[in-house]
Amino acid sequence: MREAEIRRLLAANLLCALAIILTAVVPAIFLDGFSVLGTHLTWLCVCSVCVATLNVILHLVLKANQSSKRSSFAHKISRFLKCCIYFFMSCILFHAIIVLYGAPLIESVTETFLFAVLLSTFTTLQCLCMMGPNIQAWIRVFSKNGAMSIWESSLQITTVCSILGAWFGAFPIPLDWDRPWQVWPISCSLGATFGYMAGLIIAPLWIHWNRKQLTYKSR
Amino acid sequence: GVVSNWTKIPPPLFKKVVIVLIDALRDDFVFGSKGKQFMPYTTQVVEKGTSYSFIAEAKPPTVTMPRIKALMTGSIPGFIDVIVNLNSPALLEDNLIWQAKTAGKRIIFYGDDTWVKLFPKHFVEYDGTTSFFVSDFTEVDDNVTRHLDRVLKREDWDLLILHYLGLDHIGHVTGPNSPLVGPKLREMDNILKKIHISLLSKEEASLPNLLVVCGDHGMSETGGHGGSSEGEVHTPLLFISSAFEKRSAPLAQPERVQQTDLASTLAIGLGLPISRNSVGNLILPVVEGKTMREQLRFVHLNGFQLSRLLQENTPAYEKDPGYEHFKIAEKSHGNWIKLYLEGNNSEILLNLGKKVLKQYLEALKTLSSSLSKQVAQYDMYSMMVGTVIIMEVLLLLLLSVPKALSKRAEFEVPLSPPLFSLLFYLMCLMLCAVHVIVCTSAESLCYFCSMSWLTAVGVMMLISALMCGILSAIAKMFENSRLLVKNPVVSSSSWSEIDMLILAGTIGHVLSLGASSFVEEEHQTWYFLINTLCLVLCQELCRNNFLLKECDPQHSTNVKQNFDTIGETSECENIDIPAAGNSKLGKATSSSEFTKGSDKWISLAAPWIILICCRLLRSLNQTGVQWAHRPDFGHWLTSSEHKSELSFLAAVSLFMIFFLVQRRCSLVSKIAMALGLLGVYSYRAAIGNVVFPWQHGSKDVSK
Repeated sequence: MREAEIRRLLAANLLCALAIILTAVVPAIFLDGFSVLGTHLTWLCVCSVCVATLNVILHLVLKANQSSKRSSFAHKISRFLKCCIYFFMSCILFHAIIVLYGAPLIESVTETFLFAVLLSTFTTLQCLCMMGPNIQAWIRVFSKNGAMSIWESSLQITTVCSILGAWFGAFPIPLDWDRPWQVWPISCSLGATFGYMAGLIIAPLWIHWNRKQLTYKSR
Repeated sequence: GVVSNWTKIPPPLFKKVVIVLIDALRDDFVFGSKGKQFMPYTTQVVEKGTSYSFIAEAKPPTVTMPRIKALMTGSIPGFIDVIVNLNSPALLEDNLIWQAKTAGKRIIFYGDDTWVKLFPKHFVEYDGTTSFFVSDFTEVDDNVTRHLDRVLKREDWDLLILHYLGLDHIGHVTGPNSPLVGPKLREMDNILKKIHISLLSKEEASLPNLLVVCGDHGMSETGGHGGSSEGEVHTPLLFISSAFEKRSAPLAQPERVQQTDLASTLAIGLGLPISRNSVGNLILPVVEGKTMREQLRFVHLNGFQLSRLLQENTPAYEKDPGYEHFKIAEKSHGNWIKLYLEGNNSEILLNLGKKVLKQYLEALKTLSSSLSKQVAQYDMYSMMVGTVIIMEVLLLLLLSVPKALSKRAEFEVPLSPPLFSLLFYLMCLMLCAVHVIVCTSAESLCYFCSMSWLTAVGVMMLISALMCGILSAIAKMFENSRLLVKNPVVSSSSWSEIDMLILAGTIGHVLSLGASSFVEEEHQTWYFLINTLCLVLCQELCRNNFLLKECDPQHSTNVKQNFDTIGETSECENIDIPAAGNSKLGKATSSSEFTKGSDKWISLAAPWIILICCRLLRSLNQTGVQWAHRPDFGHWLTSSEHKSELSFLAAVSLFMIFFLVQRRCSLVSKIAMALGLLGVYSYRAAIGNVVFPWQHGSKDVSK
């Protein structure tokens, strides 16, 4: 059972990674002059939308397998609205943190906001899909030894990796190499993307490596 | 070959020479848009008058004292002169000023007192201005200009040197793009106009006068200097004299010459022997008014001096390509003289002479460059001794750091055991032997060898003592770790996340100093690391506070049971529980819950307030090199339209300082501090940075 679930996790993660790679390549066919570095804001939108839809679809499919209790339509709508509000608030929070890190407040608002949206898709959207708009559950998952399933471990790893990737992506900004990828926010968003993809690949491998020590006690 | 019968030094070409040295004059301040806008007279002379303009390239370090030495001796001083820059002793090398004084010329100097220190007894009259008050832009130049009218009327001088510091000070304080540069350039232009008109009016028919305008170094984009960027090394060099022909074609781009060329050019212009160590070439257009025979004589003199310098410095001088070219040119010169003395005064002779001149000039250029290449001679022995001492001290500090940063905070360097050990004496003897060997066999001058024997022995003893100290510290460390392995009772403290982050951040910051961009933008590294630290702190606080909420009932029972151990644990418990008996415990726990609530929110909000303050700081003042020109809050406040906002902010800040500090002061201290702060505000109002509320508009309080 455990092995099967790890394999399912691996498949889902690889699909996500492939989707991100496709978002870099495929729109060039449809749109003129599209490139990741050149039309970066377009790419950010496309990537966020693709990753979001893919994640939502994946979790709907997987949750449909583990049939949960039936809830009323109104409940579902309220949950959905709450999810949207939480997602939006997390975008605003990320935007505020990035501005506190030094991004300009008045200029380049679009770039900063789209970068915040990207970060939120990589982190908050996963939490929303997996556990719903339940902040206590989020805090529990991100505390030490709080993960209750391998999906939650994978969530921990991908979130931390994408945030670390964004953090490391800020390093080349003060260098005076005058490269096109040093324009704000390209280096940070590319760092976040690479971090996320690395997390997607590392998570199943790490879980596989440590499957003997990982005991998920149910609280 | 044939030797001409001219053996004396040629006579001077100019009667009076005025050198105007404007500190930190960058080439675009004269030739660029700023020059055309703010220096109209100079631009007119450069474009249409009887002048020659060049861009002189200075060699680093572009600091004033080495540049003055380069201008006057023609040699290239090295970086060690920067250390001596603050307390420059007299210049003992052969230089233009000494040659002028020996030949009986009368030299008057007004300007930076570095010259007075370099040439203590050479000036007939001088007035040195100090260069330390960097915020003074006007008085330092007025002190030079006040003598100008008087001295221009007098006839009793041959060489007048003026050194203006105002532009340099403006650059250091406000940068090259500030609005203060324009008026200063206009002031300099007026001075040049005054001098030029006076020189023209007092000119005699026999010998013309010469006005030289130059800079000692330029200015970088941020207003400083010292390095080798484009703006710092390119300075303008203007020669203005009625001996030159009027410029017919407009100036396209001034020619590039070396700063060291000025010494040899001025020596020939004043009829003096060229300084011995000069590596510069004669700037030919300055002597173009003379006959071909005289011009050839001048370049021959210069080449002879350079080849003699080469002979002294290089054993294999004959193989040097510059030397060979010079010998060839000399032979052609001899042939030309023969033809000239035969009486052929035709066009062919003139063209031949021009060819010989060209050969000479190429030879001079090659000789100069081969001489410049060998200037850097490093004193390896002294450098090694210094490096060894520094590395030893560093190693000793690193070994003592774990103990110094631990709870007991002790810093102990065990010196007495080493000093009585055999190793110490053996090392001393060996080092002294090495010192003797090196010093007796050194060909070049060595700083360490020139120190007295007692000092040298002392230094050797220091090196040995440090080495023994290091060895004993390492031995003690191994002993301790072996003890630790034997007794596992002693537990090392566990590293929390924040400790790891601080350690990694410090190491990362040190490593980043290896890249020049990160050194220039070091403040970005600091802001970044502080932001990360605050966020991690925030995360830990949230975790402690929100997780603790779940085990609250357990916590209050713990409070009742473990009364004494509360004060030392985690941050959410910043509660003041009075040390009272059990009867008060009930009240204590309820008040502790109350204080816990507000304290908790304060401690949760604190990192965010720090983050917001840091972000405000960032936009208050843009520093660094890449983004220094971006507009920031500081620029907005200090621009002249927002003086009232600045005054208000300054007043509020001073009042806050008083308010926060006055609680712990006695009455006398309070009054003294209030008067002091009032004095600060009044000083700023007197300068004109802020205004008093009853001063509408920006009128300065009269001096």
